[in-house]
Amino acid sequence: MVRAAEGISKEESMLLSYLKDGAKRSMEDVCRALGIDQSAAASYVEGMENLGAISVQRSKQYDIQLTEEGKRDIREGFPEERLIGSIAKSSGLKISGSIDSIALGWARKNGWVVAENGSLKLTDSGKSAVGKAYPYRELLSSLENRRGSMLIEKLIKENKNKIDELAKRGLVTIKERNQISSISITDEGRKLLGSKPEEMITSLSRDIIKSDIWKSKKFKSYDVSDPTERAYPARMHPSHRFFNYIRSVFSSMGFSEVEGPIINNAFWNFDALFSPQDHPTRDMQDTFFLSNPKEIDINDLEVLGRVRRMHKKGWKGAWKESLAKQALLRTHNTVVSVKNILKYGSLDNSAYPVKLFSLGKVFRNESIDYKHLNELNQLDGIIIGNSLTLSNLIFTMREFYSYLGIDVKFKPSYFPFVEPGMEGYYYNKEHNDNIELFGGGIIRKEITKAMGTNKTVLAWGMGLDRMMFDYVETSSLSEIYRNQVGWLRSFRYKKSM
Amino acid sequence: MTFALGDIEKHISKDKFVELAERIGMEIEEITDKDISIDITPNRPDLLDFNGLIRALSYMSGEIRPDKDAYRLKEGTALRIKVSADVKKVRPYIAAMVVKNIDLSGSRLKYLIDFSEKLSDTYGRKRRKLALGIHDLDRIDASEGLAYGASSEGRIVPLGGTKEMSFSEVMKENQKGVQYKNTIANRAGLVPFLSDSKNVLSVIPITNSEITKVTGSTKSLLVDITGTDMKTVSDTANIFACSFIDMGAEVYQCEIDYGNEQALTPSPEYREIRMRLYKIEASLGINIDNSSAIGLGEMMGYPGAQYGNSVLFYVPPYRVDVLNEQDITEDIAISYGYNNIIPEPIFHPIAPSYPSQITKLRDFVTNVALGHGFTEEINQVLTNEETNFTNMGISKLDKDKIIRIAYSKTENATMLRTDILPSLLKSLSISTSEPLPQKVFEVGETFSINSGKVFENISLAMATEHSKATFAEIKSVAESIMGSLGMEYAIKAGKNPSFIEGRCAAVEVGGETVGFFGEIHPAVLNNFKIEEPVAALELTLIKGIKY
Repeated sequence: MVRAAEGISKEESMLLSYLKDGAKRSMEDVCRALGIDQSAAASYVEGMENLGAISVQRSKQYDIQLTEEGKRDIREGFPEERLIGSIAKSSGLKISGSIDSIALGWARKNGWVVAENGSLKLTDSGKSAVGKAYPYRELLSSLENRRGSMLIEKLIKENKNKIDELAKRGLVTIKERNQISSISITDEGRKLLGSKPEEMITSLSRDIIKSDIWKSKKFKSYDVSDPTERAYPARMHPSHRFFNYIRSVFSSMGFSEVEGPIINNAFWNFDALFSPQDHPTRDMQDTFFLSNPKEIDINDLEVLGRVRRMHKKGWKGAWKESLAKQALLRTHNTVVSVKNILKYGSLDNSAYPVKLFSLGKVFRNESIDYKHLNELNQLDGIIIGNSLTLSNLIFTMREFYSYLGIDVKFKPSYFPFVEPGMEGYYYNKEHNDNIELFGGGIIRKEITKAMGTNKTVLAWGMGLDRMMFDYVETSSLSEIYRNQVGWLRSFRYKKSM
Repeated sequence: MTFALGDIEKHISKDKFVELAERIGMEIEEITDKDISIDITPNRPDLLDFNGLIRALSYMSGEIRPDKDAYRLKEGTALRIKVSADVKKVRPYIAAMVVKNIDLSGSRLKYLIDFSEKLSDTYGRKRRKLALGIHDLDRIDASEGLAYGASSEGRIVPLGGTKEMSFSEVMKENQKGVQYKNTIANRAGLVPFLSDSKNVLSVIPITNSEITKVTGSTKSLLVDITGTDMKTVSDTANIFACSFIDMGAEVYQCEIDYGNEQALTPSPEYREIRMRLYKIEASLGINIDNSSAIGLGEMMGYPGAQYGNSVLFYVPPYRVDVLNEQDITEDIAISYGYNNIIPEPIFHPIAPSYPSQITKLRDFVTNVALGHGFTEEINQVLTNEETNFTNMGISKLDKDKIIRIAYSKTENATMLRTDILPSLLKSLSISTSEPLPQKVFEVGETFSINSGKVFENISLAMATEHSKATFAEIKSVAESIMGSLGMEYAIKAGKNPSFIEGRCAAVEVGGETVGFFGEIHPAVLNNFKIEEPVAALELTLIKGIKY
């Protein structure tokens, strides 16, 4: 044998002396006892086994690889998930040849769908499965994430049946291989222990580098194909990265970022924006009002007086300060904008136009599902200046969206605080539908007057969460904010920013 | 609102309907082979009406031109309604009209009822502010006029019913009674009603009487509009009067006798608004002349006339949303076409733009934490007491120091988080099958309140989970973070029930505790179902942001 001529190394000798009591040891024991890692230990064990110095018992292990289809299903969802997703969107789906038979089979097997009058309907369990974590997908993604880790053995043992199903569907391939389960010394080995080991360098150390030892000795070689633990980089949260991208676009267009509080009173969130006090959005059903604090005082009495007059003149009804003091979580960032109209409304003329945006959380009292969150992110912008026009706003919005590669179109829309009011949208090929992008317009003169300025203010607000679907591969908004560590480690970007 | 395709196509083709409706800012929700559903913005209650919508689209297409004599009432007062003192306390205003020679065949009755229901629901704030009653005039004995009153006692055969019920039975047993009784709740138990000399015609805003039920063959109507706001009541009466006239019917005024004063309703009159062209141009950034301005106004239903250097627009009585010239300007923009406006840049001197201080801090801290190998999370700030306190081993809590939600549709959102660490532990708890070590952080908002003063803070939390996660590891990170922020700090023994006693440190800045770090208590790990050791820190970077 080739190896015999080389003699045994110091580590191989250590291995044999560790085993000389005759006990059966595992690979982990060997690693710990010799203070070496798995790949080094494997190479010594293999060498000693070839010499007949140790006896090695092996047991059956499984090597699991994801197929391309499996990887795609992790990203885009299983066919049956996509099927119930599209049924949920259209509240029913005509049964036709175009429905994927695999998807249908599995959706039926899971008890998610029933056929009714020639169309597919979701069952209760189907409804609750929409947008939820699907056990098969979770399993597949754990298999992907834990490739090469020791934890995978446990996972496979516990889920063998399900993994066989995945293999049948062609989402994974399973290879059996033998893994070392125990190691013990042989008589041959005991004999070898007596012989003098050949010195080889295993671990490089400070002493070896500084001395000339490395010139005269050989380095023990590794098996480069041995599996290692997978490494994960620390990553920024995708929404942070996306919001910074949006910030950078507005910043490049000359907008400064401003901030404002999340907790406000109704006065700033609604009244200052000309929203009548009996407007439905001021209902407990839609807005998060607070029980602590219940009220927040309106400190600026001059503004209070002007806003009161604006309401009495515009809506001809009663206006109650007590309703305006109600504390709430802001429902839109326009509350930051209106405060800044007050703050920047009467500067020296040369300071205009003032261009500002704010980006942050807004809140809606919604029941949560895969489409709706009660905590959202919004960007609101304003331009304060002399002789600004609707045409200027259209220009600004067109520039912004063209940077993102979106061809924005405009149409009339209604918001109580702007006149004219508009909505921006674009045609989405994938959905064959117009998708809303922003709402905006020229702030009503009643409001700018109440904020003490004679300037014109262009304003708009845009939701940011939904836009992320174009940049981040995900099945739902809630997945992005669920912060499952495996997802944070493995999600992919669809577009560069 | 949903309208049958067959009815629409009597006036206008399907494609034209869709195109024009979108042009005036209404969204088409759904088109089926039978009908079209359209979403009407809340400022245009007149478009909830089939006649009103067709009218607006026909102006837009240029098929008809507006005429300021279009909404003429018939001469004479049809009947008189006496308002009692009692009803003034609960639902003070009423308007009414008599409609003759109306054709309610086909879908017309359905559209009229849909319109009045939707209007009472939205513009009328679920009937509280406004409700309508539509009666068959021929079933009413108006010889001695009608009475609008309020009483705790009375009887009516509710619409669709067969037997007479008392008012209190209506509130308990009738479906509409149960649904709307809160809108009139008052201590005296007074229920508004309308009656003729024999019968109660309606219990307001609950139900009409079966006696005066309107059918497709009804020829004459009495329409009453009641509510708590005078302007809303009279505006609605005018919208309906216009709709009836557009249907080809005759509308007569009614006299309302409030005792101390009298009113005639409805009074559908045009208002004049004078517009200067340069103001429209300066607002929209377009160039137009007088005659094109008049043309654009007509497309939105305003008859117009030149008046010196400006244009007079006559606002139709159904356009109750128009407050002043800004609203007309918007309508000019709509008929001009938003996508026909040429986008123009804003010229201004070169000036720098600035990031916000908070964004700067957030990004700085994020970079340091990423550098330490921690992955960023962004969690919701809405939370509940179980996650924020109970699971963290905090049993004694001062409820006065928490920002609490008054009413939430989900039990996961009852308060704003005071700390970020519970969010991180929650994410580790759903990630137990992922390989270790797991290192995560978040820099974000936390909230508290002290003696009525609200604090919105920026905090940082970091957590590291693996078999050898220790106090020493998190201490190194904490000191690195404090050092990179350039803060003078002191580390003292800390007491915090979320951490193991004796393995928890408090970070002090200027003698005040700004945070804690250490090894998370096994009881807390059990609460979150985390099976490996976790070392963590939580630091308040800004206490109470000053906006």
